Amino acid sequence: MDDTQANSPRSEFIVGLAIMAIGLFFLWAADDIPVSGEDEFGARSLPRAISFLIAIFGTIWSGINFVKWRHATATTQPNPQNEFLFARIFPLMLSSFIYAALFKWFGYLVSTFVVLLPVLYIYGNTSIRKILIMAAVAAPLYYIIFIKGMKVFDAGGSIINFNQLLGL
Amino acid sequence: MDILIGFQTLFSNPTAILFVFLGAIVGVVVGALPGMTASAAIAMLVPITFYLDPLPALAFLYVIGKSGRFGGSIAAILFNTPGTAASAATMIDGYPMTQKGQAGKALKTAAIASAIGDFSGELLLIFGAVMIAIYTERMGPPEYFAVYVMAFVVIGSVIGKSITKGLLSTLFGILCGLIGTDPITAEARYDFGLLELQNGLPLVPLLIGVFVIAEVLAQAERDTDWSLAEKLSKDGRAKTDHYMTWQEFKTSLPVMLRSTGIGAFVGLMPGLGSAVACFIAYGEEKRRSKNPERWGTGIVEGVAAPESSNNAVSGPSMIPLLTLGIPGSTIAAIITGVFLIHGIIVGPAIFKTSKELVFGLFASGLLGIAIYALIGYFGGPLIGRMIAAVPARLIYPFVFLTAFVAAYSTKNSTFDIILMGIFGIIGYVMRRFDFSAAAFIIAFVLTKGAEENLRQALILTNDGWGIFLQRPVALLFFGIGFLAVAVRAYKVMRREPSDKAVKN
Repeated sequence: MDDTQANSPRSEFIVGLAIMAIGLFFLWAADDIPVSGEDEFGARSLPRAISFLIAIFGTIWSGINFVKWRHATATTQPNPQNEFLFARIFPLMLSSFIYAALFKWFGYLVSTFVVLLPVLYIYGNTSIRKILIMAAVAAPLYYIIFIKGMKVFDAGGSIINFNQLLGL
Repeated sequence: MDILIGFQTLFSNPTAILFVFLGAIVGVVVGALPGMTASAAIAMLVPITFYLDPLPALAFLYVIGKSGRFGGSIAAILFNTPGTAASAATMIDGYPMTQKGQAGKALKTAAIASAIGDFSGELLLIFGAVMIAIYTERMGPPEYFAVYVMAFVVIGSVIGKSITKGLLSTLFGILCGLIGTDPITAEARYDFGLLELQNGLPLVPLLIGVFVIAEVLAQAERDTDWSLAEKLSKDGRAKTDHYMTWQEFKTSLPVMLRSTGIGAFVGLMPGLGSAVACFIAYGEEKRRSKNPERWGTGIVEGVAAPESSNNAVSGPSMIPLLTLGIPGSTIAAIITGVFLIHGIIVGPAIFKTSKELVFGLFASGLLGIAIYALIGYFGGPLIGRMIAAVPARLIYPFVFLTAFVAAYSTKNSTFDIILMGIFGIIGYVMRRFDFSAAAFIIAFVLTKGAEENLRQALILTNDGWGIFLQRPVALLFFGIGFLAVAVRAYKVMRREPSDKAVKN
């Protein structure tokens, strides 16, 4: 049941399939939950019920949108948001995982400096000089506020310990 | 007069007063940033509260929630962009007032209306919650489970554009809430062999991912920039354009009071929230007006109605939390997490076990309203100018950095950063495809309690599921849940044929 639908039936159909797959995956994974005792309603019951409902809703959603997609007469307008998907969104998503890895390998200061460069660029700061200056100012500032001031733990990096090298 | 005990508790705690002031400032500024919500700010600031006593911690976040709702009106009036969803209706008359050179009048009207709405809502919370708690304290696990089911169903079916997607968001929240140890048998569930998942998904990285990272990603899609300094400088053609006149106040007061009533009622309903309240109040006042054609052209009543209703939601939305342990809004869900972090069980017994804390929190709310109203009344244009001076391309990279350190600082764990990233992507996808992040978070927070009560109810009896049929109060709550879905489904079905007719 749907009030309004901003996305194309094709993309909603794919979303429905993804939801169905998530439901089925968790339904399958629920079999690995160990059960002790003979309770009617045990540790597995609710996970099974919820993942089953998700799979059912996903199936219904994909079914409805498959029918809409097949019967769609007009060509759908391309979503203007897609333009930024590869140029901005994916790099930003990736940068949060790269940040976590760099933080582990090289410590907070260096990882913050390195990650800030592409993030500033993605948001439309195009002057390389300004980006470098901002990252060079912001990374130590964040380091002073959070690591030194608020005592957030920074091991310093497992590959190269810049904290040790810089005498921090 | 337990509220006097609350004020005594608050004023004997200078740290709490300091954090009420900070909360009011942070909330107004963050709320005024287009795109940034009070929920996002609270999610990022939760780790700070780990270092505080319960009262300053809770007061800080509670006041940010209140002042953030008001702060949204600054962006709506000055930038024609709602700072928060709650201020979307304020734009309709607020921005035309700015274009007419009456930004000062619009901002002051918003401050007064927000304070009146919020204050009335807070009084309802203070006096209503205790009375309701007397009844809810007698409820057992079957009744509680029924309340949880009602909350899941109501939140799933009323939040968002689609019932299916609302319910799916709720189910997904429940599924995530099931990860970790079983509450009765302590069996590990869905931990996939990871030690970090054995205690369940941590709340803070999840909140930051869904609210902050998802917002940061969404902002990258837009070439957003806000620069309204010239409109502010045009402000003030006549002296009265700077403030709300006494005559305007007198004509707006009934509008504010009626809208406050609407907001307070909406606030009591789990999941509806400020965004719904402001549009209902705006629509209702426009309908009642003798000159409805003037609405939308920049009139004081058009700002007063949505602003008093959206802030009146704040207090009553805490009533389901404090009387039943069920958060009625996203902010209440986050505050539930903070209560738990500080070892306080939320529910009707809280008025006995933590009376001073709860009434101290209410007193903080009242003080917070006074502070943000003063900030908004005298400093609204200044905050607008400050935000206009800092472009979006500088703000969001630093929000990203802060989110990262906030997620990490909770447990000093890089696993939490990865979780934050994953839930950021999930939150972004949910937003893109109109799933409800609010329903997801509320369901996630409620799951543990719901399952515990279900299992306890089944253990209590030999009748199995039949126990729910023997309890009239439980049946009543199941009925309310069913009714909510039925009413929404009926409305949608009635609209679909008329939409098709319009298209044809």
